[in-house]
Amino acid sequence: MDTESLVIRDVSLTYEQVPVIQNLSLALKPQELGCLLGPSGCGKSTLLRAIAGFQPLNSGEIWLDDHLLASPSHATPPESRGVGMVFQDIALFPHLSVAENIAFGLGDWPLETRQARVDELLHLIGLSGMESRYPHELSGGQQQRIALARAMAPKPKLLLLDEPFSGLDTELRGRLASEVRTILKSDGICSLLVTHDQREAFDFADRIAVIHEGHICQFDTPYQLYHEPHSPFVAHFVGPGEMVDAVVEGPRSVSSPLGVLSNDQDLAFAPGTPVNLFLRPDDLIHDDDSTYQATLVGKHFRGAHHLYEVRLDNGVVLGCFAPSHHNHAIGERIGVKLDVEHLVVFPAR
Amino acid sequence: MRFTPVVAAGLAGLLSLPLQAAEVNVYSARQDKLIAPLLEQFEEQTGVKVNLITGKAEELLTRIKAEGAATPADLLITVDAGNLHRAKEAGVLQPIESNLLDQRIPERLVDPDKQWVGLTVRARPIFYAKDRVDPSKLSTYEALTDSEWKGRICIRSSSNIYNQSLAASMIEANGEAATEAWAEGMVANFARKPTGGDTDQLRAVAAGQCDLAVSNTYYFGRLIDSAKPEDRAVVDALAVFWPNQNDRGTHVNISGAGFVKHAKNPEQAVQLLEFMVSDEAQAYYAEINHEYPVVESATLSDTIKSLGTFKADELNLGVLGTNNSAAVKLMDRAGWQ
Amino acid sequence: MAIKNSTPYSSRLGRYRPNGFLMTTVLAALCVALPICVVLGFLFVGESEAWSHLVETLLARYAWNSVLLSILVALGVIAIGVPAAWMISFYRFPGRDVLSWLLLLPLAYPAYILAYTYTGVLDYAGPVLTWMRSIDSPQWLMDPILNLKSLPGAALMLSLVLYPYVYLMARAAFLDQSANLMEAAYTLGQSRWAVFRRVVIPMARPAIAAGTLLALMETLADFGTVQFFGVQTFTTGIVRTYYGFGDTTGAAQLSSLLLGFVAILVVMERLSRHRVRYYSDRLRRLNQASQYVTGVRALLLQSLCLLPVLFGFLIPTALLVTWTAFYAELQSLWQLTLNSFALAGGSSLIIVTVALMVAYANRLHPSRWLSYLTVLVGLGYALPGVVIAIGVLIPFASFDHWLSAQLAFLGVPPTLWLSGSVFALVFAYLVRFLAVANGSIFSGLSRIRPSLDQSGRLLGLSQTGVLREIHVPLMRGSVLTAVLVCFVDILKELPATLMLRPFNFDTLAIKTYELAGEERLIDAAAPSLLIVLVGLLPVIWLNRSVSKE
Repeated sequence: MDTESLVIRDVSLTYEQVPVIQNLSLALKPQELGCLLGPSGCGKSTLLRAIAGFQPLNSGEIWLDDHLLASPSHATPPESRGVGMVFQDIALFPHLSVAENIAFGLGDWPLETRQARVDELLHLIGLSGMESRYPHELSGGQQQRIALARAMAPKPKLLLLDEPFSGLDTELRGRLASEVRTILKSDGICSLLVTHDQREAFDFADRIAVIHEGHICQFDTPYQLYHEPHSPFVAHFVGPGEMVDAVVEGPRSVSSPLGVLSNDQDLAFAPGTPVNLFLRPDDLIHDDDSTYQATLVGKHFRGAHHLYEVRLDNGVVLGCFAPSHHNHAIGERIGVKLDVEHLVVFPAR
Repeated sequence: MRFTPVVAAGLAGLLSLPLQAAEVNVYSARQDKLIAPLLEQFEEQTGVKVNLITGKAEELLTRIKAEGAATPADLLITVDAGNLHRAKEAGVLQPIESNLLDQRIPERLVDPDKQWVGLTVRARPIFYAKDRVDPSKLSTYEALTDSEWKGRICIRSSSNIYNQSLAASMIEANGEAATEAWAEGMVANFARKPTGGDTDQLRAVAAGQCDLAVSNTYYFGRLIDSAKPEDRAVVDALAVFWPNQNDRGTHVNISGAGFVKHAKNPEQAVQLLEFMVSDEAQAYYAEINHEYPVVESATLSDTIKSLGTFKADELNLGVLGTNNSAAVKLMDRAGWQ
Repeated sequence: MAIKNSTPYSSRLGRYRPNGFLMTTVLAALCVALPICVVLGFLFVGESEAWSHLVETLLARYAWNSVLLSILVALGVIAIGVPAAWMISFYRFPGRDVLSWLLLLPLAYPAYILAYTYTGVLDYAGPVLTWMRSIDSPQWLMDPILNLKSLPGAALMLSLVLYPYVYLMARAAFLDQSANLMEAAYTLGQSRWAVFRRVVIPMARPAIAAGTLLALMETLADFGTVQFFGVQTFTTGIVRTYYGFGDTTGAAQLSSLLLGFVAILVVMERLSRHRVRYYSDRLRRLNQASQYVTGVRALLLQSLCLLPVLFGFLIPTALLVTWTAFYAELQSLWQLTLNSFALAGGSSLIIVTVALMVAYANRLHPSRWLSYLTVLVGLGYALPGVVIAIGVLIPFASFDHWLSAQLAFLGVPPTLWLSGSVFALVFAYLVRFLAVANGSIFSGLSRIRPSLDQSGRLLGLSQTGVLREIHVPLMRGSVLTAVLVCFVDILKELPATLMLRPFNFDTLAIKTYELAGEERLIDAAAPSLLIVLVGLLPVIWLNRSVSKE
């Protein structure tokens, strides 16, 4: 069995007397970048605050590197947990310079080591030469990277990131998430990100825990979450897609309004079972030669390609990517075909 | 040349006549509580309305100076001779012409140029704690600097005019250098930093914080008359000692009035002064505030009588004013706060 | 009506400008400049006779005492104000809301009234010490009480009434701090005490400094307390030189020295305030870091918070009420109250009107020189009342004498047109308190969007009409606050009133001062109590507006 760094076991939490997390368990491996992904109000931030030590546990235990951090009867104070945290509102100390902010948690380090650590981190986050600036003189992205460096400086055993990119604009958000991933990977810190944005989660995490109504729906790699969701909620939450009614035909095939499709492995349903087939826009391709025709009911120009909305003859509306130069008018009948290797199938509702 | 002021005065008279009946404006350093009943009596007797502004003598004098010819003041009443002298020096007073005043007030209590007159006399003896001080050890103001009294004397601040006048009288008697040495000796014998008024010093002696206090008599008189048991206790614990009986006499001061040069109501002003030295007014002063009358025929209050008789310093009180500035400065230098 | 859109709003309206608003601002600035210039002007007239005596014997004492008093008051207000603000901001305990409000009450007390009251009860022969002697209390316990009338005593009195400035500013700064900042510090391994020391206090430092500096300005301006306690500072020195030595020049020169001290404070205050502004608006407020406390610890917090209220308000008020009930002669109080209220009411209306016009001028014609003038107008608050009085008396008296001389041939009797009337007093109040009104009016006006002015003008209102019909109704709260705060400040004001009041005109503050000067502390209770009670109104008001924000 792998050694585990962070272990959360059967934890229940309440926020203002309302239960928000119930019997949740989760474990991160050393150096792993984890993510708690869920809609707002799902309790993921509360869980993060419990790990940091700002939130008491109702039940369960939290362990870090074989040390008990918290249980209903025990709570290591936040300052002694070896847990770093990056906050949603950045929370840089406005009265301290960049270097002083980063060195804030290094009070007991010898001066030279401290200086070296600050330089190292500034280099790591690409902000060398900014040490004497003050937070208000920096851009939002720069501030967030400083906040990251400050949290990393004391070499915490675990780094928590509480929606750290949500205050930034969309474009910067994705870029920074990948940058932060690179930085953390190179430093090898076990980290846990909280976000409600699946793109941010994909950019950042090795494994993502999708949280819904206080418990984990699925804890998996981004690829598996996207392509092998365990529940309709996860399927919908991690990316766009629609359900289509289908019937299981053989051990590896289903019959759908767009023809019979075969899976790369055995299905968990007996032949003849009515099922819901989950299709993402990239599963459906526009092909003028296809025998299946659908009516174009909506289109969104995305530059490199079109995202078409097409209505099948049975009334179901699906998303469909088309090359940019295939410019059809709304109302036109166009050819579509499925291009799927792995089928996402749920029991019929 | 002579015409203009007459016309001016006439015009002014015409302008003011319909507006106001006869009145007199008094700038008084006496508390209105002590003087108001007397003024009311005057208003009743004469029909002259008295307007009163009270304040510290220094403030009132500065005000009269600043106001110059425009001053509304007719009389300046102070509780000491020093300030009256200062007013005279500042040139804001004029001679008072009244045979009645000349007759009734002893000459040493009047300015040589008659610019001010004394209205009451107040003495500044020593009070001692009966249980802790042997009065035979007391003799003079000068002797208060003996090491015997180290840490045993309570006296108020040097910014107070009574102490300034006391020092001024000593400058006259002993010279400036000796007086400065005396002030230093006093400071060395203080039981505490000067604080509060004369009554506070008396209370401090009674309470045991010090053994001797220098205070004007009427403060003691007020305590004698007080209905409060704690005041009675102070009186019971203390006794008066009249210093310097074998030489120049105990230091006395006056409360008095100066006649303002630019007085707009000169007749009424003199009328008020004459009223103030009437037997009844003098008796009132003695009765209500335990001061000594300037008029010998006036009766003393029983309270004053109980303090006994004493020999007073015969110094002309104008001297207190002349020496005031030197007194203030030497006390500043001696560190008498 | 072809008006180009590119024309700036202000200059578009400027075409119709009546210059009244600008003129008022210029006049107000001149008013404030007058006493400053007069006092500074005397630096160049050479030494007076008393000056050499002053320099030799007293100047060092005045300066040393003023500095020492300032240091002690600074320490005092910080020692009381910061912990109080900390407890109220970071802990939740029963009674916290009430205490957060009670802690402001000492603001209603002028320091001199507190001094009179405590002297009345803590005298050597007074009830407290008599009782302590009767139970044979040790001398070291009684000595500090005995020495109340001293410099440390004055510092204590001033600290007890001035700490709310620090408390208010620190509390606002604490509330402004994001809880995440503290949590960030915890996750970086800092203990509770280290967080307080390294994050909370440094972040609130500019606000604490600003509050302390306000308290120090009041300290340097104080006359009543130090005079009564026999502490020789610049203010008592100025009054003594002016009255005692009759030396106008020396008094004016001392005033300029005091002005120098004040100028240093003003510069420091501006610097610290500038940084406060930049700190508070960058952060999201998140006051959820408060910790719930119950039981013995709650009791401890309650007692600690109650302490300054007890000594700064409850005890003295109880004493004043008792004395008033048992001893006061109330008949003369009516006239005094009438005088005080008429004077304070009239003056504050005038001051607020001027403040409105200054603020409006800034709105209509924003320009650099106008903002400089406005800063100048604001300096008046830093001028001690004594300095203003000297700076007003001298030129006014000269003017009166000159005018009287000119009018003599008409037969007009010499009159003190300016210096002998209420005018001089109102003028001095305007100089001193215009800044107080400005603060409230400017913030009120800045909350009204310019588009409202523009619609008003387009709908046919004149500039004055916009002010009257739109601004004043919209900022009624700010205007009322300004009037109220000015009213109370004037009611409490002592030294300028003392030196400038006209013939036959006493106020509550003057009467209190005189009675206290005559050691009739108990008789002084009734007018004191009235001042304090009226002084409570803006404190309550202030708290409401703070808690609303």
